[in-house]
Order: sequence, then structure tokens, then C-alpha cells
Amino acid sequence: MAMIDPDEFRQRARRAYEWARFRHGAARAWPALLLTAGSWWLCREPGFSIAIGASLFALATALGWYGRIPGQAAAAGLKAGMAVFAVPVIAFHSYFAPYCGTLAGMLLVNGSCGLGVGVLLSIESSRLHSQGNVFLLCASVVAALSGMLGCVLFGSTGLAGMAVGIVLSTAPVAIYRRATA
Amino acid sequence: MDEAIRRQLNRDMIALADGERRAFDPVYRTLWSLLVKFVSAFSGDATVAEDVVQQAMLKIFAKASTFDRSRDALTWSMTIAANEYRSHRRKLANRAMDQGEWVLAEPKDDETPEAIAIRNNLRDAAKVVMGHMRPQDLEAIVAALYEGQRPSLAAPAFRKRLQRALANGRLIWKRHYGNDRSR
Repeated sequence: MAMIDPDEFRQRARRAYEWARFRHGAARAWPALLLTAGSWWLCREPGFSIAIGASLFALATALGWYGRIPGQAAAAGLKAGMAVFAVPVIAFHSYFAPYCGTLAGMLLVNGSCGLGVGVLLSIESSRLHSQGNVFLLCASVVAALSGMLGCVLFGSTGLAGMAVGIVLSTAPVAIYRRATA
Repeated sequence: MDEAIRRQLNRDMIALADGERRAFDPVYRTLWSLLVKFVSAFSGDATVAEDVVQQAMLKIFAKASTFDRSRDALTWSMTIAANEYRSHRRKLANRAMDQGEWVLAEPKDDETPEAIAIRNNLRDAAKVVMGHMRPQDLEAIVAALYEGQRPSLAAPAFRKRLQRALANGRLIWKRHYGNDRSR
């Protein structure tokens, strides 16, 4: 390698760092691909699954690349999202299957799933010294997108139930934290 | 090396691993000067050292996101630089073998020819031995030589590792130069 101008080399080192962060972020977003494949296979709605899965992968990669609190939030959101994905799918394929077909059942399963994950993420965010709301927002969006992949099974009602559940459990925490900051 | 600088480097490297971009410049500045000195001590040639350190720095920043915060940033960086120098030596040796000639260092004018010859021979021999050593052996020897922070091992484990590293070094030396120390 020939010696190059120090400023130029500094920029090159910075590009190497950013590019490596991007690849690292993409590698850590692998659950998004797994959930997308699972959603496609289970829900038979490739259009929805790919659109939501691609958004989830892009968001998780971008947050992972950025790092700091949003990077931590992406990792936590994906972990929580895997649970949110699994619960409605298991409910739909188990003893509760007939009950899940009703509107109330769908709202109850997806809404309570969203509520549960929102509470878990709120607890996780309270452990941070700063930027708890940033963490909560990013992690909730990632978890919601992951959950939506499972809720494709239930259609738009399921998606809405999940989103409402997460918002209901995280918004009060975020508002309270902001008010007391 | 100042312990405060080492601690600051550790903090900055951890911040960089977390995505704190403002830690980039301090890490870059600190590592550049330290690694150039470190590699110059092996190579005896500042130009070669800067060339090798450029390659090493690209690797260090590419791996910064996965930096293990339980490790010492300086030792980690020096290991990468030492490996890079070893690769550089291997490439030079391969090129020299391809061309059927050996690349020898230029003697300096301000010393006696005998001293220069002895020093060059010893330096080249040491380079060859270090070039064949395992990274963990090199890391242990570097930590002991420069009284730097040791790998995260208990003192007896580190002593054993150092002993093994020195024994391996002697074996490599014997394999290349036998017991003839005048060579």
C-alpha cells in the first residue's frame, strides 16, 4: 500500500469504520429475515410479509449501524419482537384456534401481546440513565414491525390490535418520563 | 506509556464500539503515533512502519464495532499491527524469492561497518522469529517487554503463557539459526 495523504487516509479509515458498522448492523438484523420467512410460510401473504419484513430489516440495520441507544433498542426490539411474533402464531395454531377467528379473540390475543411487550420494553428503558424515550420509541417500532409479521395471519384487525397494545403500554411511560425530566 | 492515556484509549475504543463517532478522532490520533513507534521498533524503517500501520489502522477501525470491552485496546491494536507487519514481511519474502534475491536493509553512515552488520543481522533474525510466532505468544512478549497491560489472565497463567511464548521463540530461533549465535 502506498503512503497517502494523512487527511485522505483518515477519511478512508472513517469509511472503513462506517462500512464495518453497517455490515455489523445488517448481520445483527438477521432475526428480521427469519421472521419474514416464517411469516411468508405461515400466513401465505407474501406481499405483506415481504413489505413488513423489508421495512423491519432496513430499520434494524440502520439502527444497528447508528449504534448508541438506538442500536441497543434495535437489539431489544428484535428480541421482544420474536416473542410477539411467536405468541399469536402459536395461539392461532393451538387450542385457542377457533376462538382466534372471532374479532374479540383477535383483538385480545394481539392487543395483550402488544401490551406485554410494551411493558417489558418500558421496564428495560427505565434501566437507562438517559435517552429512555428514544430507546422506548425505537424498540417499540422494531417490536411492532416484528409482531406485525405474525399478525398478518389475522389481517388488518390483528395488526391494529398489536399496534394499539404497544402504544397503550409505552405511551404513558414515555409521557410520564418526559413530564418528570 | 502513560497509564492515563491507556485508560482514555480504552474508554474511547469502547465508545467507538458503541457507535460514538466523536471518539473516532481521539482513537485515530492516539493509535497512529503509538503504532508507528511500535512497528518502527520492529522494522527500523519509519516509512515501512507507516505503511504497515496504515493497513493495521484500516483493520482496527473495521473491527472496532466488535471490540471486546474486556480486552485492553492498546494490546489488541498492537496485536493487529504485529500481525500486519508479519504479513508485510511474508509478502516481502515471497517477492524476494520470486525475484531470486534478498532484500537487505541499507546501512547507516554514522556507525562502524561491523556494528551495522551485527545489528542488521540480529534485527533481521529477530524479525524472522517474530514473523513465525503465534499472535498470542507475540502479545504476551509485547506485554512483558513494554510492561503494558497483560491479557485478561491470572498472574500465574500469564507467566506460563510467557514461558511458553519464550520457549516457542527459542524453538523457532533454533529451527532457523541452530545454536550459532554469531550468525
